[in-house]
Amino acid sequence: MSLPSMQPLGYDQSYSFHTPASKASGGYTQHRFNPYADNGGTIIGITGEDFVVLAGDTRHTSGYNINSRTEKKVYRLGGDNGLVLATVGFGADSKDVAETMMRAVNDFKFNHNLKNMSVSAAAQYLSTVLYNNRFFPKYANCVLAGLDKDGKARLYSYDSVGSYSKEGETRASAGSASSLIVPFLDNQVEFKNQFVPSSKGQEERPVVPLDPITVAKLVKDAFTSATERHIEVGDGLQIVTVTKDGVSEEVVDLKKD
Amino acid sequence: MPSSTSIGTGYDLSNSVFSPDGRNFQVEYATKAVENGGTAIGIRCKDGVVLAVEKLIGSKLLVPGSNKRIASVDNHIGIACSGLIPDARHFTSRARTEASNWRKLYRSPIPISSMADAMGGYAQLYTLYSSVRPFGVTAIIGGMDEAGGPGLWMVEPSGVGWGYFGAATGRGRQAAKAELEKLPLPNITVEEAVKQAARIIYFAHDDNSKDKDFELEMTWVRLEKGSAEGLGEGVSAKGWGKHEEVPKELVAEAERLAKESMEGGGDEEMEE
Amino acid sequence: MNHFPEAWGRPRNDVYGVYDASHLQSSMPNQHTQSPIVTGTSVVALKFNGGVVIAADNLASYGSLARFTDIERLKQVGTHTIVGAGGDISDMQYLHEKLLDPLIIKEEYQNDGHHLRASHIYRYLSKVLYHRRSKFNPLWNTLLVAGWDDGKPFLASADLLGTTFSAPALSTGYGAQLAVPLLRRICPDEAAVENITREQAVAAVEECMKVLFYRDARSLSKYSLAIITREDVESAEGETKERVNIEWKKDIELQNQSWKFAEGIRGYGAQVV
Repeated sequence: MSLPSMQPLGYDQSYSFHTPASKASGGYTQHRFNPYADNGGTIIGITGEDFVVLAGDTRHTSGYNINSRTEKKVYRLGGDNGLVLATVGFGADSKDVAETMMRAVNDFKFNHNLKNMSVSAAAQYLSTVLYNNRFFPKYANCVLAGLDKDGKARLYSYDSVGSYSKEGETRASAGSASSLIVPFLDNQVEFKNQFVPSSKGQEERPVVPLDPITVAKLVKDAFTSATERHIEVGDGLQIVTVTKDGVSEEVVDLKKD
Repeated sequence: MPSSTSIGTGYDLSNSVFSPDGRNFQVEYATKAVENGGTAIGIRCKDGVVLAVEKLIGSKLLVPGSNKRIASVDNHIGIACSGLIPDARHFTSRARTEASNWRKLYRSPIPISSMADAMGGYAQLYTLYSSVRPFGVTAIIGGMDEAGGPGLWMVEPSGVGWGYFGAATGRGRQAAKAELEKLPLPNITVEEAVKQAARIIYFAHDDNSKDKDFELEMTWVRLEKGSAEGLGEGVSAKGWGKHEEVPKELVAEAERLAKESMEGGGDEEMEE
Repeated sequence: MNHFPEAWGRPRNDVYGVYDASHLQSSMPNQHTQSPIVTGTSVVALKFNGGVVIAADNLASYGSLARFTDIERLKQVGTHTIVGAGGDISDMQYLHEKLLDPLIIKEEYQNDGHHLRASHIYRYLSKVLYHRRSKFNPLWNTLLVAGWDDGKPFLASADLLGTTFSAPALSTGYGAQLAVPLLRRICPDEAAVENITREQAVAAVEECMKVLFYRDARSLSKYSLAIITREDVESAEGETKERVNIEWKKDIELQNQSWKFAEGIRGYGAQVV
């Protein structure tokens, strides 16, 4: 999906209302309603051993306009189940997917004697929801997280038609600045291109689970950097942390320019 | 009454069959069902309409104020029913559809007379076919429209619907009608009518169902800034009224006066 | 003269060609809206301490033609809410007459003192808009929903795609470019709402309407403004109850216009230098 900023500047702010008229093969000019928009923003997720962090900026855009500085992208899927979902892309689809998941998780609870849906089940369910819409995809890029039955952190990320890895991931990022953030997380979470100093570049630095303080720092660094370099990222940063003690949330400021 | 003459003749078993003397006994039985219901009355005033029902309480376990018997069918129309409650529910539901359809068709609220007409027609349909029975309901339709001002109509199981200044149905209708006739209708205000309605319901209850518990349920239809000021004799306010429950404090005051008059009334009779 | 009365008053085939009735055929595929026809421009709204103010001009344009100059684009929905609409006027009227009016009437059947509040209306509208876009048959509007909700002023936006967001200062259409930056000067965030008085908010919105009239060719100098506030009413039982008050100002004519800035504009029209 190309960014609006990569297209020539249009004076019509409601640019997403229209698909630019296109010449069909028969020589007819086709006008068509475009059901999608890109509302910008970025989300990331990082796991530790027994905790996981999901974060997203709170800027909501249409083209060069900032619609709102306070729209959150990370959703808790229930009161007490430690399941969290972050969605980014087309705002309307993103909220719809999030609400579908909240409803599914809630229904599951009532249908299964108040047992909560496991994070792996929620992950598969989300994939099914997205895949079932593959012929009219939800333009929502999702990152789902929670703790499994052993208390181990789980993190799953999806494309807009439901592809995901059942094994989960240690870190994920999606949205407009994900291309800026992913290499940073590769380096800082997976220790890619890091070597044991004494090995003269022969021995890779061993990967160890990160502690909560380091993760919090990484999240903030990732977003302050993305805010500098991407116009659709900024305003506020919502950070949601899942531990065995529950889910906590904080919102910190990002630059508003 | 049908019972003595009709039973065993076979003419009372089917809706679509007349008796030799030209009666539809099913309709008359339906009317009987209404006569056993709690009293419902309507009063047409110069600035609006008041509806009141004596809601008989079958059990102390019922939540006070629940199971309403007066329904809003549009912003400006209320329907008070006496008789079989499920029948009344269906009847009011149909009235809501009529009101909604009228708005869709004409882009304006339905006049009260048209609503009475539609509901009369609907009730009458249920007297024509052997596959259905008539409504065990008499409905008092009260409202206020732009052209006619306050309107009060009563639709019976036969489908007949007449306009009234004061209407009464249910068990205590005779006593209620006698009281209504004493009022200078329609030249009273809604505020006065609220007190009278409460008194009449209490009076009718005392006359007919003294041993039973009941709740007084009362609504009115009047203009937002409803006031009878400046309206001369025989002139009524015009406009789309609002149907709503009579404010709690006014009902409480009306009930207090009603109870007082019941005690006072007893004394008066003693003196006479 | 043609002696067939059914042909009278119709364009003559020998002059204009045979009438192309293909668009009347029922075998045609269903047509969905692909572009708006008669449109309204910006809606502007701002929260303040104790309420919200919302404004929209009275123009409905047919392309670049100023077609109707007495259209009300703000409408009260229920007791707590004003909905302001930009975009297609017929879709706006459909929303109100076929969806919202019946919705409100049905809500009042219960007579239980409960009323649909601004957030309820907003959520309902968002779902309708998203549902219609998902059927590829959008309602071509951008809506602002302003009102009172659960002890707080409420303001949020929903568009033809079902995109939803909320902020203390919002505007649709050109207002998003021209009005929102002005409003954000006095109301940068939710915390600032507390320090904005009703008078300040109304003045800011009035100023926005003026700027929009200067720069938006599809705008009008006549507009409507609604102010939603809350007031405490004491009931007969002595308890204080919250009541929502909606004050309307209609047919407002823009005051103190100054077109001096236009003299500095270069690049349009006939000027040489």
